[in-house]
Amino acid sequence: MKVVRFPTPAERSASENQSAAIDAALNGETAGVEADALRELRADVRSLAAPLDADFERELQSRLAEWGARRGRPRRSLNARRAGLRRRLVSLPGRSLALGGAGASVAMIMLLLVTIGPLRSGHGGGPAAFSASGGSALPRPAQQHTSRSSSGGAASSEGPARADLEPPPAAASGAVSAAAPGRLQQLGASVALATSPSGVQQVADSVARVGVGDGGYVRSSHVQVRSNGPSEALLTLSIPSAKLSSAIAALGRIASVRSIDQESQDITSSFDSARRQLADAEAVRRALLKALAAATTQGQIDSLREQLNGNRASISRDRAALHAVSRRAATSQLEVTITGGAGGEAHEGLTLHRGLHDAGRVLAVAGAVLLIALAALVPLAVVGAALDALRRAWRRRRREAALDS
Amino acid sequence: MIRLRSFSDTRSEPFDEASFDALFRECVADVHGYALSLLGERAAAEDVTAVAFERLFRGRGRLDARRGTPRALLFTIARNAALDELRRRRRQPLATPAAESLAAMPGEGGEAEEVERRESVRQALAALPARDREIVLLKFHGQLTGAELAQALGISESNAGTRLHRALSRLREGSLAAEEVA
Repeated sequence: MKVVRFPTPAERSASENQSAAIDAALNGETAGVEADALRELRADVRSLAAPLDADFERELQSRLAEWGARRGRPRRSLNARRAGLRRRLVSLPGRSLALGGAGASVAMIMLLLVTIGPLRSGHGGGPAAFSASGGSALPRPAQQHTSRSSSGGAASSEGPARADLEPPPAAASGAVSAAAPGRLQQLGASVALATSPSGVQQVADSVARVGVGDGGYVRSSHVQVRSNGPSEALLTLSIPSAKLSSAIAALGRIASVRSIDQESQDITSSFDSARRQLADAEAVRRALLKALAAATTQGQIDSLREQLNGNRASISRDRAALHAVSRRAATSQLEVTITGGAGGEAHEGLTLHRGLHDAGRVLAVAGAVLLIALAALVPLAVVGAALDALRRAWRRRRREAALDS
Repeated sequence: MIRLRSFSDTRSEPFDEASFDALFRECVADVHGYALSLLGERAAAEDVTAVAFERLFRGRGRLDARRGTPRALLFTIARNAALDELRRRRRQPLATPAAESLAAMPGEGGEAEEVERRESVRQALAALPARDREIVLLKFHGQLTGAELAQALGISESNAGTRLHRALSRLREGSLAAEEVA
């Protein structure tokens, strides 16, 4: 192996001076024997080569004029085309590898963006993505912060103090199915509301206020607010059946309604049965009282008093049963499900806030994809550049070797 | 004394078709002479000359004046093409100059001394190592400056100056020796 040492600054200066002196002599800027000899040597060397053939020069000049007229790439000879092909094949490991890597990365980015787009738009979903009937369709993720309150036990203590023997008004109109004349119906509804994750608590409070404001109460509530991820709330309201439609309409003003499920059950026969039993018991009481008034012996009186006591208890039970059936018709159970997530505001329309939020998400995803692509591209580019440098050195070495052969 | 080269002075001008045409007229004979001296065959020299101008024409839009003059680039291309040709054909560069590569010698008369001197130069040039001969041909035919020569050879300017000085010294010594023998 031949080791060529670097010239010292003094040597470098000397060689540059020699080169400058040669240039000056050849350009006629210096005079003297040495300069004349150098110029004469140049003339002798140049004169050794045969002069350029005039035909060839004319042909080449016409080709040059043709290239210029076409203003494009010159027509390449077969040898030049072969040489170009060889050059491209040789350069495959270097530049083409880097270009291929870049192309693959760009394709990967495009593929990811195309894939992410539909997924993101599909995540928002349309309305009524799930049924909130009974709350059973709600996902129950691990709780981070949960507040729970229940007043279910107070249900029996609420409502009218005594049973109204008259049939309760057939509840509801409009959205809730109307009862036929003389029929009693028990009504229920499930409403699913959607809002932003941070708005779940506020919406839940508003829903509770609607229930209380309409003369009802909150039977149970379950609010789950998560700092990262979807939040949700489930409230069960008991409200007068006559107010069910207005309550549902009020809920629609609080947040966007994703679904409404309504159900009704005819309880006329139950009400009539309870009322008949009570009427029978009261008729028995009247008969007992009449018999007691006509009783003459102490034994008859004692027996009738005992029957009256039993009848009083029976009347009390029948009255409670009638009251319960009446209350079932007078009040309705309204289950409200509130979800707050990425798709929670899906059909609230395009707002500036949502647009900025989505734009930020798109930029973040694009940035992440770019980062990944760069992580793949940089090593490829380094390898490509190294291979390209090696290829150039190898080609230069092969050329130089032609001089040594 | 006429200064042979002038195109490098136009380095600040845009390299348009007129500039290319001027470069062609100025350098075509030099490129041909360099290739002919190096390859020793007229057809191969013409091919190299055509290839050099063709490549320069195709790449004229990418010419960067800061990286060298068009003339230096032209001779770099010509050198690469000539070396590729040499490598392909395994031709000995000017080891035994073909008759067609030599210029017509002056006839008999008062120029006999000049004929002898040129013959001695030819012998000395043929006796030079190939790398020395190449740098002399590139310098004299290409008329490149030290920096341009370094660019064409792909070496440092000081290295090019050293090699050129050594090659010229050997050529002159060889030429003088040949004259004495004659």
